[in-house]
Amino acid sequence: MFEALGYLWFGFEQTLTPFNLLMVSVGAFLGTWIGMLPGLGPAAGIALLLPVTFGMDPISAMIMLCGIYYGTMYGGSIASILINTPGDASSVMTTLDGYPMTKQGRGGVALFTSAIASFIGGTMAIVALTLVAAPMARFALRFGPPEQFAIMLLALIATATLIQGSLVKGLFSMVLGLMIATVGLDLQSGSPRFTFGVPELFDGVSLIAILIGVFAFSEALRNLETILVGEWTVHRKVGRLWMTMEDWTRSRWPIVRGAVIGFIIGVFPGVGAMVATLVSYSVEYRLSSRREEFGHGAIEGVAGPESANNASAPGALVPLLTLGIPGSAATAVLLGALMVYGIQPGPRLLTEHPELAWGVIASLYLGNIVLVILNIPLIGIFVRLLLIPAPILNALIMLLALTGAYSLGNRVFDIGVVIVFGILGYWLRRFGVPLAPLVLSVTLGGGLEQSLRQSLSLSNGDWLVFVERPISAILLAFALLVVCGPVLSSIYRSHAMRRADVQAVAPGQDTPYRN
Amino acid sequence: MEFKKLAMAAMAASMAVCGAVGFSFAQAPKHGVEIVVGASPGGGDDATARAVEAAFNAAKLVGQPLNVNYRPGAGGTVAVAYINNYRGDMHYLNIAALNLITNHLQGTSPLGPADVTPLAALYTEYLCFAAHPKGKLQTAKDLIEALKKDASALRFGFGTAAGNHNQIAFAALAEKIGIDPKKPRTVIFPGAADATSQLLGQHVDFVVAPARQFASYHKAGELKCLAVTAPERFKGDLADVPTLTELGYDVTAGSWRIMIAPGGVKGPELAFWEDAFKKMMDVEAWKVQAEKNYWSVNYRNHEDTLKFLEAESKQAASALKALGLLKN
Amino acid sequence: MLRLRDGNVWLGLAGCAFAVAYLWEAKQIIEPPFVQGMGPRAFPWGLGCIFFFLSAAVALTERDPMRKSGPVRVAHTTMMAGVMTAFACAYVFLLPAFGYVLASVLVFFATAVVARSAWGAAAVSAIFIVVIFYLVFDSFLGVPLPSPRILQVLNV
Repeated sequence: MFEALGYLWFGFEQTLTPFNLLMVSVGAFLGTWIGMLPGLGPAAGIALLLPVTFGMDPISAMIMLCGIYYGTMYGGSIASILINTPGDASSVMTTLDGYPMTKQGRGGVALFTSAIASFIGGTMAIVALTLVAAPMARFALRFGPPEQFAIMLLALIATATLIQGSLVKGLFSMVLGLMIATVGLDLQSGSPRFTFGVPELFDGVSLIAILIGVFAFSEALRNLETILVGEWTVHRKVGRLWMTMEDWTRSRWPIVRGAVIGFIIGVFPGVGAMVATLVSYSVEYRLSSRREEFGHGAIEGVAGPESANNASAPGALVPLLTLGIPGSAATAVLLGALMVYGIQPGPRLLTEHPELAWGVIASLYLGNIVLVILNIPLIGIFVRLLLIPAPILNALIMLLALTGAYSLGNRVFDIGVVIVFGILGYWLRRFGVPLAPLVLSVTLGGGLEQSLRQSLSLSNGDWLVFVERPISAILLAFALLVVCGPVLSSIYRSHAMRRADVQAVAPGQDTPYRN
Repeated sequence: MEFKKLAMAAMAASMAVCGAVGFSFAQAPKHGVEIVVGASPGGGDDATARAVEAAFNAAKLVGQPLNVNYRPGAGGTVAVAYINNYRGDMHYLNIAALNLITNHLQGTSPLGPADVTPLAALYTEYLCFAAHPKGKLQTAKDLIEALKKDASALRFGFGTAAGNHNQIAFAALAEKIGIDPKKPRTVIFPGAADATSQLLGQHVDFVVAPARQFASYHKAGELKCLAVTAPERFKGDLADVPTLTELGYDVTAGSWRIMIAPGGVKGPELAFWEDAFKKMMDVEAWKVQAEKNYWSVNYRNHEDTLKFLEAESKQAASALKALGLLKN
Repeated sequence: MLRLRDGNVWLGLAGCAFAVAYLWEAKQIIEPPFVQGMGPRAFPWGLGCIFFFLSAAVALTERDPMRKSGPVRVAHTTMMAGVMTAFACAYVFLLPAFGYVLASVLVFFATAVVARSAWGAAAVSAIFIVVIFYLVFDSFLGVPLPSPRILQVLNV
């Protein structure tokens, strides 16, 4: 462990040159603005800005890319909080409480909380990366298809428990999302499903296009109605730009928990930052004594997921740096970048190219710090974006949605997807159907089905494989607990109340428990 | 009547002369050239595009700016459809592979090799069968014995789509051994990286992927490369891995890459690109990249590539038929 | 039992119809001969059936006490939202024909005006914002935004 610190110091020596500091700042700055564009998340942002780094030496280039990585994540949060248009799947959970906070005039607080939570979460995760990368990577290898299925099932069930209001409508939304996820060429068999011969559908309906449609476009439609009815003025309050002690007290433990959750989930390849934010949100929801505030501006709902989001990035780097396997789409692009610079990441990267691997880790610390330093003063500017006259701002959101959709695949088809899902999102909202389960199950649905079928293929059709393997058995038991938990606890509570009634009530006296 | 005949003859003669003269000139591109990559950044197609771009720029072979443009989707189908919007236009290049043929045969793509203009064949990436060093397959012989004894007990994983070069290579080996390629428990992963991590976790017994994927793991002892599908052994980290041909199974399957242009590119434009790619093979920047990526360079010009594609189509059709995936 | 004035009934019926269409289309899915475990058709079948029952549940059991009448009268604001959607659909066709800048300026202006913006402000901000977007996406990010095909046709 201490040799790791020695290597880290070595990494800092590599990275702390004035040129590199400039590069990481430029990267963080550019990344933030790009992340605000709907459809451009970390993976797309890094891919688009990759050509800017050509001609630099590998360490400087990687440092700039790390700055871009964190910048895009933060940019996505800004858009989620201020205009309810998540830049990427990992920013979706932030909209649930971040946007209500903006509507209450607390947008500045939400942005500040997001910045601080991101910083702390990211830093904790990088420390964890420095210390436990290798053993964690080895552990993550034990996640085969059955375990992946169990985790995704757990994530879906966690989604279901978050549904406030009508459970039936929430499940309706979730199953609809799972159905949409089946569109495309089936991975295991190559059979086209629901593609109607349209080649653009062969890879499925683009998840980001769905996100943009369901959030950005339908939001623009609803904003139009709000403006026409004259209720828009609520947004004009800029309000406080920092956290109070009370905000901090409520946020600090969600941030820590979010960091742990984000890092662990980030390490497992294929699970993704979105699942990390989802699990963090549901954990905070369950642990909170103020559940009714969730979905209406609870600061824990911003702090936890934001911390988890930024913690998952170093987590995703763990398999890349220790085994050469990218843990997420963004790290896959980083892997491609490394190969362009002539470096083949593999199991020996840490020992054969320590200057590069530790340089990357050190630049993550740097990127994190620079992001906070740069962006906190800018919060005031970002929030003032809301002061643009409402019709113009709304047209801006719509143009963002349409252009962002086009930029996904350089084709017009995705604009059509955005419009269709915008209409769908608009009507679902009118009918009181929650949208978050839809989006989350579209993201998870493909992996859920594929890992289920892969598990069954590998076990030759034996369904017991899920309980025979220890890790998946534990995860499934956990899922069962989550489902049965509320039921069991309410039975327990009513049983305990009845016993207390019997004990406390003397004949004729009122019981304190009866209202 | 005679005048008409004379006029026709004169016209024919002048057209022949014009054609001959036109053919002897190569028409260079008039504006920027787009190299379209049918996959996401960071994969083999991307590496090829960047290598071509670097080599062309280093030797100044094109004279116009080059731009790499990503159009991922449907295993390259979207990219091919895109460049075919510009039929006859020499300013669009695409890197194509076996899936140009298999997508068409499987019914995924309406466009096939007949709809595009092959410019040159670049290289073949030969494949490698890999297993975990602590697993039950330690040598190629173990693998073959296990397949013969009870293929349905073996777990076979690969990326990235049903019926791609990895599965076809396995089907070719299966055919030589005399077993049904459908028998092992087959799972398909979204990418070679996923298949590799599953193999490291011993969730599958063997994986087939381009040799480059496994080179560093083999050297580090994390994975064991059992056999390669190349005609000769590799140099470097994989030098100790036998070829299937050495072991007595005549299977040389690989993932080849060719450069194509939209259908209808011919004459002077075609001549230009043929010449450019021929010269590119001698450029240092290209050779360095090829060596690093375990690309076995085997250049073919337009005519030879056409013949190569025909042969590949036949082989792919029979392999897909054995796998039950043939639709066309 | 089916109260046609309740929006939930319409939602449930729409869902049931969608489930039936989905299951019908699922019959087209080809099962490959080497399927082990679960084929490509199983999951869609299960989902379609579950969705059918969920939709029926929505239609039968959900009550929306706040809604006074179902979608019988379409509000003015909903019609305006429809107009804005129509602009977005038009954009899909205008974009390849007129190119990014012109199509975006038109649709931006139209969207702002529908939301009762002042015409001058809408026009100025449309041009300003679209030009910035063009520079950011096309020149800086390298996303090839469409140029007007009409110009190509007119051979400019």
